[in-house]
Amino acid sequence: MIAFDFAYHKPTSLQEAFELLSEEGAIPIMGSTDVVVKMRARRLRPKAVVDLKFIDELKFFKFNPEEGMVFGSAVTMNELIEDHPEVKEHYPVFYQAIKKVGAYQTRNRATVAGNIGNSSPAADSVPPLLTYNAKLKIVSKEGERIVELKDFFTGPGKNVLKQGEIIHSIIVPYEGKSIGMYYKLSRIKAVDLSTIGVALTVIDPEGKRDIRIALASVAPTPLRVFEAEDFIRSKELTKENVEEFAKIVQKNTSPITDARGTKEYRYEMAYVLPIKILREIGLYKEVN
Amino acid sequence: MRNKYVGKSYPRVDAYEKVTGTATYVTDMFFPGMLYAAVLRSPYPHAKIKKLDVSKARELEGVRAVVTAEDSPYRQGIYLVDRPIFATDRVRYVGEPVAAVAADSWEIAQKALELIEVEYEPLPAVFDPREAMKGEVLIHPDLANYERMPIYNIEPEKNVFHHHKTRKGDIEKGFEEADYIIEGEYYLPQIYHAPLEPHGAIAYYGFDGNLTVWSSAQSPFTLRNLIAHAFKIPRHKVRVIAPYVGGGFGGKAGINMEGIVVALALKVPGKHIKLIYTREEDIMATVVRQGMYAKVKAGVKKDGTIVAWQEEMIFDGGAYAEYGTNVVRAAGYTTPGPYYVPNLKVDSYGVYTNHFVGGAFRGFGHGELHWAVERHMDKIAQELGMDPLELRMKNLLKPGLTNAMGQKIHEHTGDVEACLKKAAELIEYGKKPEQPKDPKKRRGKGIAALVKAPAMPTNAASSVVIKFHEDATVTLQVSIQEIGQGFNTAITQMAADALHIPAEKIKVVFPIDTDANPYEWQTVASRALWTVGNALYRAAEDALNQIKNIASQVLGVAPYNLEVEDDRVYIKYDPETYIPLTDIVMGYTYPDGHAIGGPVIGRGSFVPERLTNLDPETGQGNVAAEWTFGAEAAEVEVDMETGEVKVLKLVGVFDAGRVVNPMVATGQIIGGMVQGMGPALFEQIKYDEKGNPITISFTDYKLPTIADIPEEMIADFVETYEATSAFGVRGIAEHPMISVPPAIAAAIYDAIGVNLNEMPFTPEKILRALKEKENK
Repeated sequence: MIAFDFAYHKPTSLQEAFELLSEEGAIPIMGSTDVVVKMRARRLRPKAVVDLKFIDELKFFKFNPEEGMVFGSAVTMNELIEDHPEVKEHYPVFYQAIKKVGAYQTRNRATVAGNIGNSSPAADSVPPLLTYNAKLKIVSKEGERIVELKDFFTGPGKNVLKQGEIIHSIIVPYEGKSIGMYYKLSRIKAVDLSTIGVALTVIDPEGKRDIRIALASVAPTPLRVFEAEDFIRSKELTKENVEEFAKIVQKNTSPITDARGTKEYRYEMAYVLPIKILREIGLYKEVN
Repeated sequence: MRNKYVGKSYPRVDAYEKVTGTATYVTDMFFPGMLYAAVLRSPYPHAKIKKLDVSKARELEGVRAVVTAEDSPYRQGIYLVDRPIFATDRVRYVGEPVAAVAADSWEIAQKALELIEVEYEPLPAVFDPREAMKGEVLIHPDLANYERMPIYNIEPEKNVFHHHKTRKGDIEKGFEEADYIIEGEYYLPQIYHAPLEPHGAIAYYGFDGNLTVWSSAQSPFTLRNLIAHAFKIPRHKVRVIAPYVGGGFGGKAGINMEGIVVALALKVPGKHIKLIYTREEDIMATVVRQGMYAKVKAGVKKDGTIVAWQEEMIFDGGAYAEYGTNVVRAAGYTTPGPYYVPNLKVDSYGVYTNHFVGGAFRGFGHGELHWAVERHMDKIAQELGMDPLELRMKNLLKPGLTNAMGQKIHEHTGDVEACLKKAAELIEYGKKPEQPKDPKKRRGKGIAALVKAPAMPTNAASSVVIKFHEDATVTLQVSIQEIGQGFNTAITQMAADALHIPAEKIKVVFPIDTDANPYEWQTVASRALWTVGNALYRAAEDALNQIKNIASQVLGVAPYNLEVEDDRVYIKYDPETYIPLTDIVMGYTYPDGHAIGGPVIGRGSFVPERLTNLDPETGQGNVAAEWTFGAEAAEVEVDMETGEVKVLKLVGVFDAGRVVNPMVATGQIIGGMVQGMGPALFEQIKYDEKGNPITISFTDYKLPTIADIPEEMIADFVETYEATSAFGVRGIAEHPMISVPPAIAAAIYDAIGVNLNEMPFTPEKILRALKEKENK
């Protein structure tokens, strides 16, 4: 139970939501799977919560090769997993990651927009979206803007959203076939946060073989490591190159120690997991 | 006695209510005008309360009572009365109750908490019991003056609330005879019970001076006793009603948070006051399993015979000992578990720290003691180059030998050898596991044994009342709580066999009400079917004798020539001559109207036979009523790159004496094995360096879920009829959790050749151990 008073609003249109969110102390919510936990613990004490999940305009999903995948912020993770086979087919690493969020019941409520808005460094849906160059459409009374996901986060729990702004939709370009893996290392296999999460996506694996990598829970924000991607681009996946690639990934991280794991372990895994994933997806054969 | 229901998988009698969600728990109960309670808690692990001002909270509209230690200066405790209901002068752990509020709504009660002003002066705190034993910080300066049962041996200047000693044989001579001296150290942290249902209670104090408490309690009668004792109210004026308990695991035994609602109720007569703990409160402020540091030194012959065992266990008892005193004692007198060692020196210390309060937890010291003993057996095997199973087989506690407290083991005590053999068979011990293609992943197998007796006072009593009704159906009054273990089902089967009537004609009276039910000590110690079975046997005999005595007059034959069967009482040598039970059980009425007998009410009581306390200097005596042996085995896969452990298979085999309900018993074993996986792999109450708890919700206190459990889990039994039970049964409830961690640790060693001697086996610890091995 939540021990303080707050207002609950359930707008059915964006205009109505904008009005409600213009009040100081009002926050937008979707599935509230993070918000309620924080409110119970009194780590978040909003004056009002504005529940956006009943706004029809935010419930769409579309995919075509030209525009890529675009879905509204009210689409739940289970809807992405079960109702839209394009997600699994064209964005397999993203699909794997959202399947590892919480439990089935959590994913019935949880949304990707909520996961992004919560801006935890541990957000599982974010690293794969970073590798797929996702963008956000952000709307407010004043209008709309597009923000690259990589530019969205500013710190743990912090982002570029201003009071009154909401995430309208998530835009994920389609760059061709991709393979890869989201490796979630957690204490238990479900209903847990990542001790570390690594998304490694390979766009056009048989052709240009563009390797991209992003991590959760190793830095103040979810982290894409362009330096490592630049290093490995058009290089052969030899033992030397792969190890150097992993080293670059590792040195870009700045993990901390918390209840889930130590910084030393996270740092070590930031090196181990990229290599492990390359081996598990069959691009790299060597065993150290 | 008939043998028709015992041994069969009779469907659970509580299944309909539980599956449909209609079973009533305390949280489901509401009364008109009920008030809601909330508790203000200490933010410090150790601090002086300099100022406590509740006046503003009292003035808030809707607040009916605010209580602190000033209003309710009582302490509670089952074995050692050391736990105040509200912190008095100082707080000793984060989460300790300082004040409580009763208000018209939960929200008002929460607001009132924010109006209470407390000033603390932090005191030096101590978190490691080994440090605490130095006595530099005294957590209970008044320990010597606390009321306690005389069997507990305090050392107040060392923060020790109980020091158990076992001295058997000649330890020095044992070490002299040994070819090898092998030493080891083992550790496990505090863990949380995590019942599905958090603790909750409702209290009502009538204007007539009668107090009623509804509680999610494992032990309604002991709760009544301890409330009455703490608040100095006569027993007959305290009534405890205990509806279903949504999981207890020891945490709801004895008394817990009930004192808070009682203290409030005494201030507001005529009102029901309800307090349901949040998960955070449940983790912080009920009880947890104690942490433990163990040091073992064993003397071993070349052939693997263990001739000396010296061990020191230091328990992290937390801020209050209370029930935990007996955990320390039980671990002490049971070491070295299922093995025979002629020369023994065991010291088990319960030590206060500024951690959460330690208390009873499934296994009651045995998860802790077997962790050290079974890990050390593996270490001995490794150093001798002997197979760990062979080493165990060589040193088993077998008939004719004596255990640590000097009790002789009989054939009927149980068969640990058979348990180990069966577990080895089921895990295919000796057959190398098929290794995965990925050379970074390795599989291994491990095995461990265990033994546990009920840890209870020598006079822990049970009683049963059997009432017959007009249609010859029966209600059974017995005060063991149904906490999910299936007691109500099993006792129904046993009563049906004892009374020679169909099980469908029997109902267990529920919920338990101490005003109406007969006495029962507690629902703990895996003793229920054993102790209540004995009381039930006597109650059934009593009822059957009453029936036969009435029938004997009607039929003109001696009672011993009569037999009861299903719906009738008949003459053994002329079975066609009978009287329907319906004509007897309310008294028999002759055709002319005159009646004899009366309603049949069977009554049976039981206390354990011939138990004695232990000698305080040697630990020798006869304090254990019956022992259950078992063996558990695990197969695991370890990822040597990440340190992740996957449990592939678990096996548990227990000598149950006689299995009353195979379905329920199998469920108990599987549940217990999963519960044992948790502390082995990830469960742990963590504190930061300042002693602040950091795992106080399920976000960070992790339990195994369906995604973590092995694909294969096998439960099996050995049945060595228990001679001290009228039904041949002994307990298996706690046992399945006990030796899962050492079995998993052994399997990890088998897989990757490293020893994990500290729970839980996190990926980090596994990688660290692998590195240490590489550097050697």
